[in-house]
Amino acid sequence: MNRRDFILSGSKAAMGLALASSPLISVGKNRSSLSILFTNDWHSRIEPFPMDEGRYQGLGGASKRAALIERIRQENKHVLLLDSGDIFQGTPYFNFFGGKLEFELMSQMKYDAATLGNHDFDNGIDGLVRQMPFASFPFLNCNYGFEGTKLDGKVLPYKVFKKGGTRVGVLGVGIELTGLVSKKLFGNVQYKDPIQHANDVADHLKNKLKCDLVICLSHLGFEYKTDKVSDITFAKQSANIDLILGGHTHTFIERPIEVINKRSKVVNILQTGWAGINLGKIDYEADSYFEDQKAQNCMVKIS
Amino acid sequence: MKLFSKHFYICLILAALGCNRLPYTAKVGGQLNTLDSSWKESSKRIDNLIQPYKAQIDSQMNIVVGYSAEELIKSRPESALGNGITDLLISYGTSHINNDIDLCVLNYGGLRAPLPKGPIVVGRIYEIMPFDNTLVVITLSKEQLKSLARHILTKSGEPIGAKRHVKIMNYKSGAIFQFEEDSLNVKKSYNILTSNYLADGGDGYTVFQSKPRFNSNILIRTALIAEFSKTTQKEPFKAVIDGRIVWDPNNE
Repeated sequence: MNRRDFILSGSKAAMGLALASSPLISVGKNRSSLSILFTNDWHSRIEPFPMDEGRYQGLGGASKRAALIERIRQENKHVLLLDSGDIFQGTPYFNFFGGKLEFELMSQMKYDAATLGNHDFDNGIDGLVRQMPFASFPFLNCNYGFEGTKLDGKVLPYKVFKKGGTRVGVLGVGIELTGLVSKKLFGNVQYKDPIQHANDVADHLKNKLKCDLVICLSHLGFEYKTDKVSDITFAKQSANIDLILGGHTHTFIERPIEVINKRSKVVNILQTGWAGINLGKIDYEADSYFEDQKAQNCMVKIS
Repeated sequence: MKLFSKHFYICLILAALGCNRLPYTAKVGGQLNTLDSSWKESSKRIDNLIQPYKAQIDSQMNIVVGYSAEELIKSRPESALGNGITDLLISYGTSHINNDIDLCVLNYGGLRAPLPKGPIVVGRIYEIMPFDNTLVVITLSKEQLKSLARHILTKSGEPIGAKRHVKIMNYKSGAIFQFEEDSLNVKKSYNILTSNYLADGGDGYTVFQSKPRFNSNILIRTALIAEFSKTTQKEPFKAVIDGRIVWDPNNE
């Protein structure tokens, strides 16, 4: 494919090009390679930003994103496409159609999983449940209790994907809804400690289900000035999670942030900003395993 | 580029030395692919799926409701957008909800888009206020009003408006609202126009919870459309930055 069409931000465009032309990478391509594609907080931005928007005008748009994803899929059959929540709310498409089109589009793009953001409750539990039949992908969250609500049984704590010879475990964590969402919208959804629950699930994924790579979709937010739990504090106290794909704070992270977890291993954090302005992409090259964290992470600086 | 290749070799070596039973593993890198105007390709299939929804929306969203003299964007502690929107809501609330409204308070995070210069279409009002939030009037005591001022300063400023000039100031003894009209500085209770979201305690506004409350059930968007409809190309909407939020770091 023509890598010139991959527009990276600023000077990294050149790096992307250099990377693509490296013979070492092309060799890798013939082996088992996995591309994780991701978005967060697309906030019903079905069309690109309007041209009177200023800063973001013309950026984003589901159709262009779909075409880009399609191109990447043609190049690599092992693709995992993930979203970190706040799919809903932000344009009249949500006010008029309640998120149906958002889910239909994500299904067409073949999303593999998404987690729930606070705005996904903006039409209440009923409003979310009503649109779920239009989503062909699962919703993942391990720190909300849904017992006694209509979401019970409709959200999974995790899912394992087999991509080539690789087992990828994906889990989801959500932000505390009290204070962000009106109680009458989120009803009896119970918030539980995200770090403890994510660590329990990640342990299960890595050690019982033998996942080579564990990815957490997080809507906790990247970082706060207060002691509120964030992806940074979460990553530090985590174990068995390799990659956190974040959301909520609309943070543009152009290179993976490395955080050392409680077992002295590196966790990478990424977030794509918001509104579908970017499609995040992180590539793993492997024969079959993802075990040596050190080897993995000295490569992250590329791009 | 050379550097990256070198890193790649280092990784290979590390992997080989570190654990020779390991099938070698390396992460190639992360990147953000910006979907800007230089990515021309779109998906016909997706366009076709969007089209019928788009047609329904466009027929209503492209109606021009008013005009703005300048592009208004939000910032902290105050901004033309925050001041302008809250001033418009005060004007609407006073004529449609309660003629004794002292203050309008919204949250910075709730204003989701800038207001462009020139014609304002319905779709833009949705962009600014996508939430189906409604106008609520909360009544606070003088002491509770101080808590509100403190909360707004804690957040480094929020959109506030009043009929005439109002200021929030921080003193060592605490934060206060100071109204231009002297009579407002000595009232026993104050009527605050806000959104149902903040009135429910959203975004940390616990000061509004369990206080005397009137639900207008009028969408904020409806109010904004009504107010913008009063503007014309010749007399467009003008917002001011007038020093509403005065932050003295020496008083922190």
